[in-house]
Amino acid sequence: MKNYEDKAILFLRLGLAFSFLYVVVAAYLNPESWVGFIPAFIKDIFSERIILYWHLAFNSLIGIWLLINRKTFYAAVLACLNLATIIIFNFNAMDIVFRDVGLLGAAVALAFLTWKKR
Amino acid sequence: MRGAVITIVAIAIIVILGIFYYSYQQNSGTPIANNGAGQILPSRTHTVEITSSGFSPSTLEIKKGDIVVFLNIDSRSHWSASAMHPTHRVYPGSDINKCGTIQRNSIFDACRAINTGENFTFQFNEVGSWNYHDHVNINFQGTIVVGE
Repeated sequence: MKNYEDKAILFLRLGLAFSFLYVVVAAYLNPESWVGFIPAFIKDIFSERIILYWHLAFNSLIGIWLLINRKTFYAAVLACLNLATIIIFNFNAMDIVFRDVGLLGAAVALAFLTWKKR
Repeated sequence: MRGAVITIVAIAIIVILGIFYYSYQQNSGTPIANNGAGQILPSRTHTVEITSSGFSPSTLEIKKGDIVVFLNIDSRSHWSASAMHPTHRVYPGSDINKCGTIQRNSIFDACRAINTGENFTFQFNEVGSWNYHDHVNINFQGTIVVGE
């Protein structure tokens, strides 16, 4: 059973890490396609490019942390917070963010599976 | 050691996919001749206002050949375009990669953020129910229903 659990953790880590790091590459190459996810009230306070690059840095941190496999529980919690924020602030665009709901489920599962190892 | 190998393989896959994505973006904008999709037909003109709370009306029923003016009356800039974000390919012939090409005027895509008081105009020649959105604020969504 332990072996299956380790494999589940491995694939959850790799799948989530891919998603977070893919966003970093895609948004860096084509930022205009991603600024639409930033809530308007935040754009009123900060430059959208600054917010986008901070978000990409945060995504990079989560993605690399998931690959490193140290204290994965905390990386999974950060992933949950990140995804939940995206879903909440873009709820009207569920046609677009529905996959983030699936990713959130995967991040929650990873957090539960790594809870004891934290 | 095994963990390091997995990490390296994962990073390599991500880098390769990034390169493919970048190449795709570079190659897909080749200008080609207009196929006449923007032909002028007898039509009515309708206006969709873009306000601080979204498109108004959010659903608009029109006839084939009618023109819709997307007028920005909000203080922020907005970019009306066909679903889905971010490729804008749902309306036939539309594709964000055609922005900046000779086909720009025949696609359901403003191709840039429209400032306050400006508008984007498009003639709908395809029958169907066409969802669209604001490319720079994806919470703004609407539908143009085009009948015969």
